[in-house]
Amino acid sequence: MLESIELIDLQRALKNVQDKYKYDFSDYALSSLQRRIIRFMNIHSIVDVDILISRLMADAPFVNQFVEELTVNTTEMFRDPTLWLSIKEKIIPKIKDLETINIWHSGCSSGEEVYSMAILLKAEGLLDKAKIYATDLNEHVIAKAKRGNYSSRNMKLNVENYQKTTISGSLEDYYTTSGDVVQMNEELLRSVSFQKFDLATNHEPFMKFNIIFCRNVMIYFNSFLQDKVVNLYKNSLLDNGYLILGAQETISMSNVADDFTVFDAKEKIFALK
Amino acid sequence: MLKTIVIGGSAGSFDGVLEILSHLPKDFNFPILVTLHRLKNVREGLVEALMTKSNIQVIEPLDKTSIKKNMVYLAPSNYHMMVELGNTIALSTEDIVKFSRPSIDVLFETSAHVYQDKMVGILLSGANSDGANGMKHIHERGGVTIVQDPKECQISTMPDAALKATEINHVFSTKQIINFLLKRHQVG
Repeated sequence: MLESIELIDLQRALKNVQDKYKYDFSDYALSSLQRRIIRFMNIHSIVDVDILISRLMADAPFVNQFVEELTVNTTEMFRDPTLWLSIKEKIIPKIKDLETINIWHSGCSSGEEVYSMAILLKAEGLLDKAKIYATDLNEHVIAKAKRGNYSSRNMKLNVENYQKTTISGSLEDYYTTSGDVVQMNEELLRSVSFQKFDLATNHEPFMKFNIIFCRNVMIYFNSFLQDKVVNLYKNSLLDNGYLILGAQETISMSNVADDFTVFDAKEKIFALK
Repeated sequence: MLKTIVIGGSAGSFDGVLEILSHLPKDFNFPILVTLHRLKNVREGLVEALMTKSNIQVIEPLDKTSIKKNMVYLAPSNYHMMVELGNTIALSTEDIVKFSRPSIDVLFETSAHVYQDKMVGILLSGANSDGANGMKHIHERGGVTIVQDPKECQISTMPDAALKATEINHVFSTKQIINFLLKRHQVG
């Protein structure tokens, strides 16, 4: 079992992927990137970086799996329930009278966060006013999020999280179960548009939003890339728009920190001045 | 030249960590990184509990925090805590490792990679084998490996697993761990 790889070999593999497939992992945080590549190689019984490279160059579906392994994090619905309580109590009152509510889930991964927000909006009677963009760097991943299938086993935790948010109703109202699999109600996606967007390579704003979610995405980027992405968000927010990060993240070290106020310090919600 | 102390523990380790931190001076010369298995959704309470007796400041670091001495960095709940080249904390939401997030293996392995022989890894009481593989990495890169004496542990599964997995330099009681650390504080 492979336990480590040389940095220079890792960089060589990623350069090959970048040249052929345009995915740029050169500014991803090294510790987790390295661990994930090693894990990927072990899953596929590849002991040598040169073999990894030749398989990646030859096999596009294999590259999809590679990109998924490096970027997708299976997560929970309503992860950090106190955050969702804060959105419900502090942000919803501020946006509920808007004609349209523009929301961006950047790095939507397997989609749990998208469904979480859609459910909150539905419970508040605001889903029809919302225009939601859910983006990720890989179409395959986006397709999965769109399908809305999750394992029944994971739903137990999601239900527990939901109960802690004090949102009305119950989570079971929003999905149907068939054996091991749950299917999220399709109507939750009626205000959602899924698109490919690579935060590592694209820093051009395409729209302005009231809320941008970027939770536990930038922890996988190095500081240099993180700064570029925070700048993108700054340019993609409407006045007083909200940027929502993960529980242990901050923008305070970024060069545009002064353009934001801290809206909720504990839940890592920042508002554009 | 020693750079960092890294500690891992699970069931039964809280008292040990508290004991250690309450006997180290406020200006302890090395950063201390700690991963304890902990409840997933409980974000408050553990730092506060450690701060009741610790002389050194304890924080749950944000991602990309610089690692400095006179500080204890406690892995936050529901994240893996890693060390990044450049001496910063890197957090991750990847899958659980040995049923845990934060995982001790993840901290130990990344620390070994960054600090090589300039670190001490300490494994305390616990009910699973998380940390054993990490100790192996520490040993292979020349770091010092210490386990809490299984006889003293509430649950000895964790140090026992490490003893089976790799060479452990010292099997210490909590008191001996403290003396070891105090000596290193004096000589560097």
